Amino acid sequence: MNQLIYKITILLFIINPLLSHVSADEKPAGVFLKGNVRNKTGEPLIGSTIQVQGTSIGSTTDMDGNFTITDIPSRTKITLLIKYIGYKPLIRELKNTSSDPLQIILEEDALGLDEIVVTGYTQTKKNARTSAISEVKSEDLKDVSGSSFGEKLQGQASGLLVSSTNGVPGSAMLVRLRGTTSINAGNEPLYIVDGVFVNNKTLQGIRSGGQTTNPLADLNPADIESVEVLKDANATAIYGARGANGVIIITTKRGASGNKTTVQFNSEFGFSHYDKLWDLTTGPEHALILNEAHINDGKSYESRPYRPVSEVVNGVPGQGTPEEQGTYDRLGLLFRTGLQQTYNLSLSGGNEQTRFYVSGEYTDQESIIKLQDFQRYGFRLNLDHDLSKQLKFGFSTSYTETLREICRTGDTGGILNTGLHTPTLTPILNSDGTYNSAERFNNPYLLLENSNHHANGSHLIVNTFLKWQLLNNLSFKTSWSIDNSTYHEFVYYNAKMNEGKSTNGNATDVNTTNKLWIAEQLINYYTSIGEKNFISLFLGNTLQRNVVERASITGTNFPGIEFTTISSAAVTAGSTSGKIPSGLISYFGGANYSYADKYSADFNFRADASSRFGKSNKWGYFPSGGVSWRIGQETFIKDNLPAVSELKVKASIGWTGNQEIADFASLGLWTGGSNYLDLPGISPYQLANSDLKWETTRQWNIGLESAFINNRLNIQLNYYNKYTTDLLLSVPVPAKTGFASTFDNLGEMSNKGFELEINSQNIRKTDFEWSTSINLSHNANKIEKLPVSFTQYNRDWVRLEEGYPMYSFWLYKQLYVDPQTGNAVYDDSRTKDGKITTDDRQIVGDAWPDFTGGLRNSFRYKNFDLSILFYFSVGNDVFNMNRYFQEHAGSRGVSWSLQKSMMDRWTKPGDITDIPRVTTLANADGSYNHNFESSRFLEDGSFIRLRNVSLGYTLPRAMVAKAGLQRVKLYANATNLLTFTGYSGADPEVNAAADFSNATVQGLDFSTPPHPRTFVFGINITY
Amino acid sequence: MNNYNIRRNIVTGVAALTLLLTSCESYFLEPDSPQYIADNISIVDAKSAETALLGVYSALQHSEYYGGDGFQSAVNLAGGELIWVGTQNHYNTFVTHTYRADNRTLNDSWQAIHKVVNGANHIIAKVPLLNETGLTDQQRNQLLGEAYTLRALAQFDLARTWGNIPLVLQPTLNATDFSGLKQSNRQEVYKQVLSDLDKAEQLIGNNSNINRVTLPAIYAFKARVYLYTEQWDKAEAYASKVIANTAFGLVSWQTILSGKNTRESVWELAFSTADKSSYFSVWSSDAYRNTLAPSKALYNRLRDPLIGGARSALIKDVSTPAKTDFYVQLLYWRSNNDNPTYLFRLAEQYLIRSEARSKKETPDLAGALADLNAVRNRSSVASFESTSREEILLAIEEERRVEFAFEPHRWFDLVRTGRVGTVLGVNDTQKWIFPIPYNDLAADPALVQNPGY
Repeated sequence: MNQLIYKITILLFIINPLLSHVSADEKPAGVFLKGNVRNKTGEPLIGSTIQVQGTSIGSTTDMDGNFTITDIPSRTKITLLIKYIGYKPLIRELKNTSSDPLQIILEEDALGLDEIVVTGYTQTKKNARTSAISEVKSEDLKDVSGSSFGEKLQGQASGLLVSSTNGVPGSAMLVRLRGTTSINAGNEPLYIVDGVFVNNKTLQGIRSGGQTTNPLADLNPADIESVEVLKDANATAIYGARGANGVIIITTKRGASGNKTTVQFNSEFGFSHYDKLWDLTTGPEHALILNEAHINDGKSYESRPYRPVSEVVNGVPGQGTPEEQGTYDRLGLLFRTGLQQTYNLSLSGGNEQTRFYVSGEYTDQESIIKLQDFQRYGFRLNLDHDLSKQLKFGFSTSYTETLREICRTGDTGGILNTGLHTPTLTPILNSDGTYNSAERFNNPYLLLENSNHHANGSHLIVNTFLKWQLLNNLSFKTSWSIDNSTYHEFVYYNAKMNEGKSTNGNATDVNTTNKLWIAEQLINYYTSIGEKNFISLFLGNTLQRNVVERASITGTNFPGIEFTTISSAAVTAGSTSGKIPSGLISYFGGANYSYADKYSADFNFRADASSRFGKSNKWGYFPSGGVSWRIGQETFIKDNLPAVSELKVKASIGWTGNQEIADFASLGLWTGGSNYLDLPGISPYQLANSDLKWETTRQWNIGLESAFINNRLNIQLNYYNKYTTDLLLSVPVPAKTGFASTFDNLGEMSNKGFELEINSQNIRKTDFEWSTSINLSHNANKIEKLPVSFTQYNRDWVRLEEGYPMYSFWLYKQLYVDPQTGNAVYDDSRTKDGKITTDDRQIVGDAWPDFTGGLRNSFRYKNFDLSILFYFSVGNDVFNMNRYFQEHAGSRGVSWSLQKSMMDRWTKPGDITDIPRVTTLANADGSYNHNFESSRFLEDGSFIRLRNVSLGYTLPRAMVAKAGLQRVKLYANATNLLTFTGYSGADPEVNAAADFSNATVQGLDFSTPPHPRTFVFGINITY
Repeated sequence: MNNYNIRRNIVTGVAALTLLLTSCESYFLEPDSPQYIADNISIVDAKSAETALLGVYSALQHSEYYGGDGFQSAVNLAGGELIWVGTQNHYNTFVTHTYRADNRTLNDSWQAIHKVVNGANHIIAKVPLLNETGLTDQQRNQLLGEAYTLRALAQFDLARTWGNIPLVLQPTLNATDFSGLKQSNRQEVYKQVLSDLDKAEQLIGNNSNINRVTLPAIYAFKARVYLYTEQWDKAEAYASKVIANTAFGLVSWQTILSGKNTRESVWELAFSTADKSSYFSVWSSDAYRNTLAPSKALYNRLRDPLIGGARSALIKDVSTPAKTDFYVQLLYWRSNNDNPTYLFRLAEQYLIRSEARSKKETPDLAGALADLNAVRNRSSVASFESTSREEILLAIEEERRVEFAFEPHRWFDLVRTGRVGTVLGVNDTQKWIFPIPYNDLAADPALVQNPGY
């Protein structure tokens, strides 16, 4: 039992408690020892402890399994004790100390696999896990360039779809674990950082053209020790009403006791540039198309707009022939090479009683598009202190400040509209050299000079706990946490800018805070009965309260553009403030039983009550269970298939919930603020639904875990089936009620899929190593039941309809362009009435990928290491809204640019193309060739991306040791080096509607900055 | 520590925890929301009834209704005087009269107008039940009179735009209230509107705040409904009541454009710097072409001294060689976005009476000309003289066209006179009413689409 509690302690705190601190007054002289610890397959055992017996001197191994011990008092015999979890402890006697490094190989301890692992609340034997969990190590996160750890997760875990919405650092990402289970109640996984359920909803209050910020960019990725992705219901059900979308557990680094404080310094510098931009027509081409549209519209050749100036028609001179038009590039003015730098400094260490990890970070990333920057300052202190053998205290805190410079993209007036959507034939400067700012979108120079949109955020996450070890196998942990984030935004459109002209300048200042308090109590117990039975139990409860507050003021009519504070505005109005509290009470418990390390079963249960739900349904109950069988341990496998090191089948089922809908959604409410004549007014706000309750997702999972050839080849396969009922839906109600929608539990949705993970150590030689990991995921999402179909977003691009997946595009299906007439022919098979009406609109595709995955190859040759990661997404459709606007055939005249693809338009009978004849007139069936919600703009967005290549060189130890350092590594990374795609836009991995209604709109490309290609050079020094 | 002690500790701990939880459960599960109040305490006394009534005016100010784009833009564009110069091409379908059921503006304004109906219904249903002693009969009647008029306005606008609409006369408490309710046709709705206005006429007090419903506003509204229902004598009679009221007068265009609550306004929807109109934002401005702009023909008409006269102040030309035919309207353009919406103006009453006098059984052409010329002369346009009823009616139609250049009248005028085919070439009469929004048809099984969509 003593051994067991010792092991738990190790796992809980990642410490090495047997080693003590080297006291300062010890004699400096002595023996110097160095060596390397690996397992039988040659894998370095990171964090092995080496202790010189009979002394308090020791060390731990580094990332490469290397260790050094200095100052060993000279003796005739030195005995080392080498330990690593899961391996047999080794005692090595050194008769005479030589300068050659010691090569130590530890053998796996058959019993060692009994290690108890802690995942969230549960403690199980690792081999007794019945759940589907993916783990990502910090090493795999650090190479990929990006401001938040989420981007770095892309392609690293099966079942996890990560798609960043644009190329601006610190922006929102789409993260979906095993599909979506909800329409209105959110599909974001639950994030837990060191036991704190952190806020992952953006606090942004000023819309910036579909972009939203990513609160998880507040975490310094360098502090992350590991990320666990909990996928199946058995793992997530214990998070009850918030578990339906999966759980991502982030553990940060903690100090280890040792003989010396480890200091790590990391410095990086990099630059990024776009890979591809959009191809626009030249000015003469634009003019030519407008002339063609003019004539096709039945107007006279003589009156065509681009004719010689000398040709005066109705008193109006021509605007010059198409050939006389200039071509003016704006995109080049707005894109740049973005520079970035990151500095990280961390100290970790401690003694038997107290361990610490302290870090500081500064990151500065420029976007490839001007006026978009991201900076972060981060600090962390993780502290562990043993008050006594029974009582342990822990403290984790991180504080970050983020600074952003923002310029809208997407919406009217945004920077990319200036660059991309202003026609190339429009001069940037007037003939007198002044800015031509008579355009729909801001003049580029004017925008660069006057844009003033900033945000700064701060985020404090604190967790403190006291763990009382009542018995070796019984503990009580009380944990208290705060997650406090604020986001302060300021935007000022001065009178020179289009947005500020009409109001003589307008400014908005918004401050949003989110405060979360969590109190959690947890009792853990385990016991063995006889040799073969192992039981572990836990019981806990959490209380949680959350308050979101927002205050906003606006000012208009400024005395001059030099005045930028709201206090100088003539009119300060439109101030709003709001406060939204919510709460959650939960009880949970579970049991795990395993027999003979072969069979295991567990059962978990959670009860949750939320303030968001109707009076009659406050409490939700979420059970789950799982079983596993290690067939590989059976003699019939062991005897006959020696290559099999592990073979385990598992199955689980469970019910999880989703409560992420608007606060107070169940109540019939009236709202204030419906004022008239500057007097207070109230109006009906929402309809009551006292029966409103959780969405419930039933999920079952069957999985196979296997390992072959001494664990050199690992294969994991999971199949899951999720079915969500009682979808929390903002369902449209008849307009005659005076409401647009009400929250109701209607509808059902399914997700089915499989996940494959393969890890292979292909070559393991002393000087050369090669390993490969592959993950592949497939998910099929379907709305199984939805009484009322409804559309989303402008122009109803996206539709939710029974029998189709979410993120489905609702369009007029363009069949072909008639080679004779040049007119687009749309599918009329639904109504067969010879007319194209709304009833002919149909779902023609969706934004879901059929497959996503990652392929990583890692090589090490002597001191060099190389890692190559590919990420791919297959079968996702993207609606190219840029083309919708930019293949406009003249109806948008000189107010909108044209894409080069217009040069492939139909011009004469016999032309085979999908771009119809340019005309602004309706076709005989009522449809239009252009400016029509045509499926022509829906493109296959499949892509394969060389996501990351990183090359590292670790300086020879001897050289480094002279400088008194442990390790020095130089590295270079390239992110998004190559992208292979058939998509015609700049980047298939986009979404311009990140801020739209719980992200129910995906795959919409409009004025979205593409992902940059980034090169980073860095140095990592360990002292 | 022995096992007994441990067990006791745990039991005590759990008991203490449970106690803590029970005592503060409501703190976690029933948080107060400072922004909202429950439905059942919304209208409980004179004060809350008054705030609820202001809430209905606020719904009238909705950006999709009389506070901006939406309903007004759709109707203005359909009237043929404006052009679409924006990015959202569904606006253009009003110009070309090819609107479809998935038109977003129609969907949003349809919803916005129904909110006014529901807000008014809450007052009409709840105020009579209030037994607060502080609420005088006079106050009660005033609240009801305004609510009936507001409901009438919303239902009138729904009917003249969409033709066949569900006529809801009770407040909504549940989403399924009124399920199965069939649409009423335009004439049935107008009948209901007149019945509401009759009640309002009886109930309303002698409030003179023209930003709210007043007795003259009800008269003006009735005159309009009688014009639409071709009850010429009544239209004349009610218009006369407004015109005879000395509180109102035809003032100069400069006064209208620079002032608020001028004598011209019979019912003016007010906006302020704290409660802005968003109508400005869809119009093209000096340097920026937005969704709507006046057409060149409209510019020429307003600038013609023989037609527009002083109404030339409503428009300006900001064309440049690079941007030809670029005109900006000046009715809804105040830098603080507090431009009012003119729901009922005196000039309309003159033109209603002029038309009613020409069309009634025994036409009073002299009276008709006097009314017409009152409006023309105010804008320094010479009097129109004719003895032909047809010529006079045509002159009235043309006068309305320039007088209400940026107010949503022309489309409805051409539809009600049946001249939309002749004038705008919209010969398909099914296009004379807009399609019921596709999304609402999906949400409301009882709704039937208008023919032809």
